[in-house]
Amino acid sequence: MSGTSEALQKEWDRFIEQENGKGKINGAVHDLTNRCWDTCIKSTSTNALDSKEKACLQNCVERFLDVTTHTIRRMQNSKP
Amino acid sequence: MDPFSSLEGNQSLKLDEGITAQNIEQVKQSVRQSIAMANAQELIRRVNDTCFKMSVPAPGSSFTRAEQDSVSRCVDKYLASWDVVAQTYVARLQREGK
Repeated sequence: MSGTSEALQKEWDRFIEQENGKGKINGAVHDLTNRCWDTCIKSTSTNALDSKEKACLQNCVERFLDVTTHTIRRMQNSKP
Repeated sequence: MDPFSSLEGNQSLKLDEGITAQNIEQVKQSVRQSIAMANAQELIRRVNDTCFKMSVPAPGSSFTRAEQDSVSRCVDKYLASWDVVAQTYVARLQREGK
């Protein structure tokens, strides 16, 4: 029976790991959406994104992640 | 507040000896539902804040028809934006092999 509960434990740990991962992604998407909405969406005269707004959102996400990587690298290099 | 931070503590949750595969499935479903609910609540909070700011910049003595329509459009637009951001973010993670 202990063999089975070890397998169940592994399955549970994997499930928690997956849900944690998904949760982190969701959290990041919430923050990015907030941030990029402020940057890219200036009016709600229509209820749909036009092509400029969509491109702006995509660029915003990519550039924000670029800045994040860059910032971390720079701070690691300048550690005393 | 991160609605998913409560999961961190469960990483070292040790299961009781008598737990069956069926028990686990039930608990998994229950956890998934809780997470989905927390996510929905967080989304509502953010849509609300964003669309209040955007659609009712000068709160008057009533919620006008124009303001209501603006909020409706804003909600649709925010959800569409959430989708675009989610797609872009996940694609980026996949590209970077995380």
